Amino acid sequence: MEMEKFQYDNKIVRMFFWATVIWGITAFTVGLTLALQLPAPWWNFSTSWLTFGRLRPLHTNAAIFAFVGNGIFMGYYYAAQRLLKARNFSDTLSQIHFWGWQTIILAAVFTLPAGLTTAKEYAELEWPIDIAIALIWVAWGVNMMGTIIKRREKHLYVAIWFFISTFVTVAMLHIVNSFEIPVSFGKSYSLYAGVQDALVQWWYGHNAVAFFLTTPYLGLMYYYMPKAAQRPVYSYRLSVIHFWSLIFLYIWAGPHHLLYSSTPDWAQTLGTVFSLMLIAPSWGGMLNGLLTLRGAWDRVRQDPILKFMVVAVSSYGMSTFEGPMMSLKNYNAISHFTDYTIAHVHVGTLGWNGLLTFGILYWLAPRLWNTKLYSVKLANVHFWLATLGMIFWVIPMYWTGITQALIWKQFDPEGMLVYPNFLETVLQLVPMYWTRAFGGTLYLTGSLVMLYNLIKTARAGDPIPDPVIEAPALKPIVSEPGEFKHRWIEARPIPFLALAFVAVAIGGLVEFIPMFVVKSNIPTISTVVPYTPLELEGRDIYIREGCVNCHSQMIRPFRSETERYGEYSKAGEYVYDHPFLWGSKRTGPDLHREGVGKLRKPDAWHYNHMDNPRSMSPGSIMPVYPWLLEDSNDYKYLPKKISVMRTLGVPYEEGYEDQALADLKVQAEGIVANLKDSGIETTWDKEIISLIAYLQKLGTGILPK
Amino acid sequence: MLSRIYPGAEGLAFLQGLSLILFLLVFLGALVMIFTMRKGYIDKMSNMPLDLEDDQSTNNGGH
Repeated sequence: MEMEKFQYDNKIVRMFFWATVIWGITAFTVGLTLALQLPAPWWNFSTSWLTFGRLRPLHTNAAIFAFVGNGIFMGYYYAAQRLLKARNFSDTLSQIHFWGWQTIILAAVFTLPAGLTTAKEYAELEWPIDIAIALIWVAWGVNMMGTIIKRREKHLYVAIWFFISTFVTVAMLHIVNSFEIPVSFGKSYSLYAGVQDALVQWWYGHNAVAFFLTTPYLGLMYYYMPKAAQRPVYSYRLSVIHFWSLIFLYIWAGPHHLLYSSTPDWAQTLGTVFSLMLIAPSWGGMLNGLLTLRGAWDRVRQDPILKFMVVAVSSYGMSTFEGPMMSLKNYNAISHFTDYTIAHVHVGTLGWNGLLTFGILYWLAPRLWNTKLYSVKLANVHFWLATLGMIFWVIPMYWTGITQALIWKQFDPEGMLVYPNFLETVLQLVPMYWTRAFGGTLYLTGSLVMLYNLIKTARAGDPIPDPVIEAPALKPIVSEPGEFKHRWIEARPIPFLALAFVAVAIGGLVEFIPMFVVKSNIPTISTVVPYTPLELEGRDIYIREGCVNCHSQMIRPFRSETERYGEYSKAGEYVYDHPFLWGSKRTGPDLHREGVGKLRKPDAWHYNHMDNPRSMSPGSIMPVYPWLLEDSNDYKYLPKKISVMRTLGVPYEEGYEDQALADLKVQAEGIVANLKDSGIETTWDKEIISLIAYLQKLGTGILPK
Repeated sequence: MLSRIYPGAEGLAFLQGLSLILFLLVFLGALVMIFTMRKGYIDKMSNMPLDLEDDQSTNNGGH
């Protein structure tokens, strides 16, 4: 048998190793900052780039794409080379992948706090960074597929399937959801509007969870759990069913984020049905992971790595049971828009992704530096800090979520809302926000302990030189007699990739095609007109400040909501909304009817409220926005914005670009005059003026003209 | 109430049935796959992460 010598590239694993640790601590620190800002809004020091609305996307992006992303690549580069018995296809591509990914993260660190955002959750980064993400992602994919093609192992282990499906699906999701037309280098408008934008976004958002936070981590679980337990995977058959069922089902479930919204009922039901079905493969995978420890449970008591992995997989089981439950309409009516969803998400990220990553880091460190782990005791301390931190984090948030939902819906015997003022409901939650911050502190402290332990481990050892490995060359793949198709397909990576793509693309196509081609899905409303230039500029400030992170614009058809906010939201009201701004969480009240009826407030109220929310709503936890009162807007991009909106289908007249600024000024002067009547002196070009115009516009589309 | 919001969209209910049929086909296909796999193949794949050279050359972790 002809043997070939080759070396694994451990340097790239070490690079992603440290990136995972550093970005993880960064994400947790930003998260703790946000957790403190809720009960103590002054914690942003009245600084624009530290406000909750701007930092929240940084936290989510750092946790998902920086911490988990680097964790995926670290785990992949170590495992894939060994499972494929081959060095990476191209060291240059590996380096491009690493430095490109870190550059993208740094770009996010600077642009998101600066207010450069698309306002689409987990896809907030603006178009130049979107393009960079696509290119770097493809660089990883090419490197992966090249390594698979030149491998010396005929069969592809199940972990590799999960990596392939991650690559192909995330590429598809990112590209489709990121279609946007640039206005400037830092500003673009989504190609889609309103209901369609919402469906595409949550098809992406849900599957970012599925194919970024789940499938690659299942790949890591299937490699590192057997390694850590020194036991083969419990059932390889189950892993095959797990893989194909999971990737087929996951992609359909996105609309469960839009229950009771203005999306068509058929799409919501589709999301619910597939979400429920997801329990089966998800729990199949969880049980496969836990049962891999059969015969090794005695070691779980002593080995912190196994402890991390057991709690991680259990968290996966919890969140994948809870997700389908939250997709039931009656359950969702309570959990949606509340902190319940935030708790659910954090069981997944802190528990499943976080703890599995920590376990892998502790497993890898001695192997990458050819030494022993500096301190098993400190690893145990980290385990308990992380586990207790998670408990202190999520339990108060579940409590908060249920409390919120119940008090929002509480009526007195006369049929009136018991808590008509939204702020009253918020104030009930403040003690639990402090408890959450305590949990976050524990979790962050644990990760700092890990950093110390890993640095000491690395210093005690030496980076091992790339090991020289011998393996027989891969012979041309020939099907054996009686060999079934799956063995045929999993030995051929390109057809496998194509089949995985078909499996994930079907769900998206079945949901999108009717939504985009059947007119009746979005009935038009004759009184809904495009935003005026001033309202459009105000909407962009609303987007820049991240208001959507705390305020929804979607009144669900419940009496408790129509009583509080007014008429429920209609699909036709959003046809000019590029992007949609429905939001997913109500830390503050819904704003969709802010400009209508009993919710409409004087211009001066908004002016004073943005300057200091507590001056108008004592006890409010909203940040202050004094810079909106001071900063002027030169509106230099207004003509381009009008032009881009027309390209997107918004019916501005041809040549309106030339008239827009004059119209803007007229409307702005009207607001300035209103403010003057209330004793406020300001000028038409201040940012606050356009924001007031936008807020006063909200919900007026259904009023008779 | 929802039928008032989406007049004419009821015809799309067939999508729910279609999607379930598609999944059933994928699931049955996967079932056929796993029950026709040979035991030798299953054992080899199950043990794949364990019988790798990397542990011989790099494994002296101290946990």
